[in-house]
Amino acid sequence: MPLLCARGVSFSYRDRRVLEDVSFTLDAGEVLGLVGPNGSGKTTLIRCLGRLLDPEGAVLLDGRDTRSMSRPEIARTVAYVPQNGGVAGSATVFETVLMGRRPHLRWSVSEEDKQKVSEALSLLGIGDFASRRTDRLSGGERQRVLVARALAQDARILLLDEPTSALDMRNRIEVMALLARLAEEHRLAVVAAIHDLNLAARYCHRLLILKDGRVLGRGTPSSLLTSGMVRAVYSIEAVIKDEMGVPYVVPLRPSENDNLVKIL
Amino acid sequence: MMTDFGREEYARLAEKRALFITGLIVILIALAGVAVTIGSAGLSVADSYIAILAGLFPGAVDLPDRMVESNAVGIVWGWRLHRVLFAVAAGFGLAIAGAVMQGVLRNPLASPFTLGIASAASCGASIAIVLGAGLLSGGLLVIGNAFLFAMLAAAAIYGMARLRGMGSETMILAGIALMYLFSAVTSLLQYLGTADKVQAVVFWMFGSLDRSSWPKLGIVTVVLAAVVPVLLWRAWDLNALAEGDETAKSLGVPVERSMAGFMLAASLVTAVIICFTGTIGFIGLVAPHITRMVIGTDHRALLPASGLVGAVLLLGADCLARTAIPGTIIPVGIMTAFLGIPFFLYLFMRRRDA
Amino acid sequence: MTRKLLLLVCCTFLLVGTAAAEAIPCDRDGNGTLTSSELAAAILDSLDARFMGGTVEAPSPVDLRDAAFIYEHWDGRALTITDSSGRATTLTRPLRRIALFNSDTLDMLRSLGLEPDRVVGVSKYVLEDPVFYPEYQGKANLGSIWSPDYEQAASIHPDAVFLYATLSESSCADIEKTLRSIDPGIRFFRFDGYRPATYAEEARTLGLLLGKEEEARRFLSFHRNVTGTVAGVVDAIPAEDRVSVYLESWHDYKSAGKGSGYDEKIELAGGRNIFGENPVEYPVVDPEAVISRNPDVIVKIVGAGELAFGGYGDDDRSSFETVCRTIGNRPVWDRISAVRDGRVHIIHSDVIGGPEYFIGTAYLAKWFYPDLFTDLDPRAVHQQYLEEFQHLDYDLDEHGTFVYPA
Repeated sequence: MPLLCARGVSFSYRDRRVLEDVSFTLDAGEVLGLVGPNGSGKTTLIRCLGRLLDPEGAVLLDGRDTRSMSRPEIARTVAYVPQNGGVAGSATVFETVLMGRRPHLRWSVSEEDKQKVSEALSLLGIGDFASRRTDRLSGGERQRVLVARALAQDARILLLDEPTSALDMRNRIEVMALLARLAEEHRLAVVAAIHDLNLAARYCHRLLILKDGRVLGRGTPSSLLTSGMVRAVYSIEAVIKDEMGVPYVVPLRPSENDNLVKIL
Repeated sequence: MMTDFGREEYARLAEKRALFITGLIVILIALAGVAVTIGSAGLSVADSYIAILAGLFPGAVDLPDRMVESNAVGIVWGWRLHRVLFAVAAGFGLAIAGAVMQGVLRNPLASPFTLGIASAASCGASIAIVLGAGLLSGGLLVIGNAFLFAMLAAAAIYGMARLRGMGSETMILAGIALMYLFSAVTSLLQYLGTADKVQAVVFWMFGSLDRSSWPKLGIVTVVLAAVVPVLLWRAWDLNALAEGDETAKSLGVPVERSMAGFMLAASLVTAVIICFTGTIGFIGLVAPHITRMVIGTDHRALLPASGLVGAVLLLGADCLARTAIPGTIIPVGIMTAFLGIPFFLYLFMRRRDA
Repeated sequence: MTRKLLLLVCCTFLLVGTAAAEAIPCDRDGNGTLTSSELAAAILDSLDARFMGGTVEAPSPVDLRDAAFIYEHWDGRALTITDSSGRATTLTRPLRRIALFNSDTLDMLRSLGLEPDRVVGVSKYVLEDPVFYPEYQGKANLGSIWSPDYEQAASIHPDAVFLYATLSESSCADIEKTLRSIDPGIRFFRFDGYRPATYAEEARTLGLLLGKEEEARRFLSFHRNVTGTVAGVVDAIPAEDRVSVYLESWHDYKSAGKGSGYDEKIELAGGRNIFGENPVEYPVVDPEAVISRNPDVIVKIVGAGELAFGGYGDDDRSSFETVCRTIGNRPVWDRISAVRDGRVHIIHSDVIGGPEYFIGTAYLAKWFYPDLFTDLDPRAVHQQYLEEFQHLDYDLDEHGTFVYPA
């Protein structure tokens, strides 16, 4: 039974069709990378999966249709990390991560809640500034705080919108490695929208390629990433190298013409 | 692996909050104790307290002649005591309403006044005073109108937000539009009114505790007792909303319903207070701000602490208002406006440094 | 919860303290009438107790004094007074400690010869005017009806508080409610003291209330003399012959419309207000409208706002002259009959509003119809009012500016 299942998910925003018939499944322990150019609908898809938007089609979490679930139930099942560090508040890091416990919280904070927060902080390596205010952090630090919050939420499915875009090289690798490890160890399903193709290829079990709201490709990184696919999706000429079994895209120059070749 | 990151500091923060709230309660009680002895009747401190006791246990206390002469008991029980308690309740309510609105709108400069609720109440009061038209009649004419119009403004904002989306920008824009609308109507009424009516409107808009009475105090207390516990119970939702509408939704908060509920609660508390006192500003803005600077943004502590700070501020302002110029009682709304100035200057200075 | 308990206790306490109807002092048989024999008995008992060492329980000096008053002025019975708001109050004792928020009523009481020591509290406006109210300067400061000082009001233990009947009624209602909860024994009276329609009736009622019926009669005959003279002449003038008048308050181009006090006074003086049909009480009018309506007389009021000079405290008439000239200098206004004929008059608000309105009306009448009122001397009327009725040592020849030209 796949943990996350999307069937025919479509979404229109004011007469514009942002997503068209997106379907895929995700099992526990898997990391799915959402890739595609700007405006391809990655963020919208993530929002639909977390029921922050109401799409056509069905989204099934652990077999249950999100339409039949109450918001708190959805919150206990899916955790969401927004793009760009979200809204900076003047709460401390500890308190921000603590907010992730809200679906489980009673009025007062229990030992277990605090325990989860501490664990999340240490996993993301931000334990040192637990008492600092989030609006005093750098973008990268804030992004890690939000990932920690999602972890503290103790949900089986994680949805992350560009979780590494503001991070430096080292932190990118660390966060992605962490996500992959957590997915495996705790049997989570992780969907991450990722800009960096190579990062996605390295750490994601499977990729979903979106362009103009449609799925152009679905599969493992090595099977999907060809220069023809890169030309079709990104309109650039590139060569694909192989680094220890993982494909590596080297961009060369923009394409002359924009021919769309559907890759199956 | 047991990790302890941040737990110690969090525990310390919780302690700091508890300490702050306790300290405030002590200050408030002390201030109330002083406030009861202040007044132009020139009662001594001892006389004021004897009068309180005499009122609580009629017949049990032997009143000295000078107190019967000066009608100390009548003054303290018929005038001072309910005014002091009203200042506490009003300050508490206005501050909490301000804190809630700032949380919902994610804007530390939001207050019931930014949303046009105060202007609406002034407009309602002007209509009652100048035109003599209103919902209730007689002594309740002005009060009824002020309350009605304040709630109308809240409903209008809610309606406009439903139409255009419940974002904080929408609400603030709607609030400013309403503020201008109601101010314009009030100005028109002032233009049309006779001198004494204009005078009455102007004085109403200053905001004062002169019109307090035991029944009015009772009403405000009942509303606070009904609304504040609910707000406290839902404090986590306010915390979540501070993280952004999307994040709050993803954490399980029914965002639209919550925002509507909070706005309603804050508007109701504000309306029921200012319909009796006129528009007392700055408490709803300054008290939560100060509190936030000291104990952070967890609304479980922020709400009650802001309320206490607001009570202290308003009661303090009222004491100043009654004693600043001997022989005159300055309307307390003017005093709070003066208190707002150093506060904003301070904020301004801090901005430069950061 | 504690607050509700306190509320309950307080209410009980106040209820207990509410004054029940008192009896007339020295009324032995309690039948509500003080007869001469009852009074005589009380006096004799008192003398007996004080000088003869008698053991009979004697009435206190206060009771005796009050009883004498009631016997003389109220025919030995309790007095029921209906004030200008229609409320009836029954008194079994004369008023000895009066607090007034209404300075117009204070003037009226002074005209009736009220002794200053029967007044214990006045509004702050009275205290700010030592020229006109020298004998009240030491009284307690009650604030104003929009910002009352309840503690002062309560601490002077008044037996009566006077408020306005038709001005700021909600403020007056608030004051009454709060003071009543502090001291349930206070009586409240609503009188205006500035409205022509009710002036005479109020003076008469107040005279009765204070035992000054004789003084009230004298004052009213003085008042009737002036108003009657004016009315007598004015009523005979047919509508089409009435002088057209433009009245402007201290605010430029702010005139008086239908139902306003100033409109009423123009009517009383026999004039026709060119904006008398305007539904707004105090409309700001278009200067061109004034020009086109071409009034025969222009009356400008000073004394407040930007033109806050003149009156009792000011002896300099040059400012009045300046105002007069400024009006004449307004563009195209020299075409107006009033300006051409030099019939622009300045008058101070003290004599046209408030309890001295009839003096102002006399001035208006004289300006409107100088030929018909050759015998009328408003200045003399004013002087007599000040000397005889307001008991002020104030010489209008030396002091004060109220009208221009004289």
